[in-house]
Amino acid sequence: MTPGPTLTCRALSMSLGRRSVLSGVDFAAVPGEFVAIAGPNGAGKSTLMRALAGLRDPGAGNVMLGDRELRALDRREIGRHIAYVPQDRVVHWPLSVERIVALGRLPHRVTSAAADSPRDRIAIENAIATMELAGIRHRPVTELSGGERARVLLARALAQEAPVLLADEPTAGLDPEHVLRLFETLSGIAARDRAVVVVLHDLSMALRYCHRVLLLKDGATLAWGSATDVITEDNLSRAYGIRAKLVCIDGVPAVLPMAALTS
Amino acid sequence: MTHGKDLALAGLAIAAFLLSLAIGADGAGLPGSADAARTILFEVRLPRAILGFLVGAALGLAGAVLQGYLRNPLAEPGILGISGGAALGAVIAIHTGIAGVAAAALPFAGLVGAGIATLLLVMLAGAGSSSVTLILAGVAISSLSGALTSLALNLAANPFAVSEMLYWLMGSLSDRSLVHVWIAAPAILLGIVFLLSTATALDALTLGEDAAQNLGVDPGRLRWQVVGGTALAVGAATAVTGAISFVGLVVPHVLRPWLGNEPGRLLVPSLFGGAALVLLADVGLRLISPLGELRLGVLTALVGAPFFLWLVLRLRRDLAP
Repeated sequence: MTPGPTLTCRALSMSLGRRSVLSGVDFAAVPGEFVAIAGPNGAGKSTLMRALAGLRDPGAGNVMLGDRELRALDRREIGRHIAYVPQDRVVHWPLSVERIVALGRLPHRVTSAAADSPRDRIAIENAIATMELAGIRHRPVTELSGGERARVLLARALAQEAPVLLADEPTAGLDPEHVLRLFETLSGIAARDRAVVVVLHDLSMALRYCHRVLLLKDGATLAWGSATDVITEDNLSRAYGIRAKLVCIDGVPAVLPMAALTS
Repeated sequence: MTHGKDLALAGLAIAAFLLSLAIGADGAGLPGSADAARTILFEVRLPRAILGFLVGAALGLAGAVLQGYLRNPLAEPGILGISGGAALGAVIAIHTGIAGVAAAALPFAGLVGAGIATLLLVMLAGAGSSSVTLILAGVAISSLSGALTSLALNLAANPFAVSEMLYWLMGSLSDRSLVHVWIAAPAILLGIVFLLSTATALDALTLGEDAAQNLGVDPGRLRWQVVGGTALAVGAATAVTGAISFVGLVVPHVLRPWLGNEPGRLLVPSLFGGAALVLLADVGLRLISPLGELRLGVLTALVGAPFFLWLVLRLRRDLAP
């Protein structure tokens, strides 16, 4: 597919009630890049993701999709350009895997009653293949394991065929094999000229797979740049209050948290 | 295919409609004289069959929409308190004697009651708030209108007024004329259009409110479609027939194992299923209780309550580890 628009935010500030959650955050997701948003609990990562997905209007600053402001766009148009996977993996009704993935086509439907078009079928099949769901496509989602469910919900977002993919902690609760497979898949998606943005806590994976990292603390940017520039022992101690060691084993970078700093 | 199932249910509803025209309180068929036959068919049975169809359709559809919108299989059309408001309006009309002024007075008072309940609901629950506040506001309005209905019964001038109100509250299609049809049909049909337009949004809500918004759902607009559609369809239905319980709860549940769990997929079938259920119950009522002493709402509750119990048991089994 042709490179999509860049999703950017400039001087973004948000508050929930009277509490300021984000202040003056700059960020950009460029097609072809795999970007991570990291930071301690409560740093404002999920709020930033929701703002980037157009679910909340910015308090100050702006979120732009290409040269257009996100808040000016129709929701269905946003859905065709930005696919968002929330952190909670709720599925309220026991639909089959295939029907859940098909929901990703809703922003593309011409009329609401339209059945799956050939274009829809192709997108659904591609998403099922990418997430390796063919074997469980007819199973009800409510009966799947946490890892399978996470893959199904990502497949729904892939079926949207949006140039920007936002996933809030897509690997939380997954076993090491599925974490690795998911990062390989997301890297592959980014390599096909899409912008992929994930919130994550696994800094080793961020260092290994992501091009750029935004490190947030208390709603403000602590560091923003290439993964190797941002994930440093110094930044980690400032962001998380830990002493961490960066190591490299057989060419694979890893972050080892050594001790919590007491001061 | 699935559309075949829609057609089958539509066929069932139409068959029930024709059955309702064919079978009267005095058994099947029509009297010999052409004039009498025409009067009975067009002034007695036709209004009753039309209302049965519309009221059943409104209840079945509203039940399916509310279960999908609230993502709760135990939701039913009365949960928003609108039918309680309609019932209160009608009871007040009987209490004050307004109901005796004209045939249209009682259902009109019911519509006013439904309208006031809807305004209260919108004020209490707000536009963009969560479904929990909507349910809580609905429960509060139901309790309030229930209490005021009891007060009206309590303060009734004489036992006849009490029995008239009680009979009305039990829900019935008997002695309804074309006047009732003209009052209820426009509101019910408009409400049905609103409710049917929620189908894809309800499907998207399966993944929660954030994901649904990402799939193009406007939560504020959806709330208006659900509340407005329920107010029109269920408010008008209750205003002309009283409370016919359990139809809106039961119909989507009966259809789910057959049609799947996609909430949007259930809307049209629930509309026809509700119409068929109310019409068949009403026909059955005329056969087992030709003098009209057994009320439709009582029959649907008698059949519906055990079903509800079974539902709870099944839910408990499904949720068991």
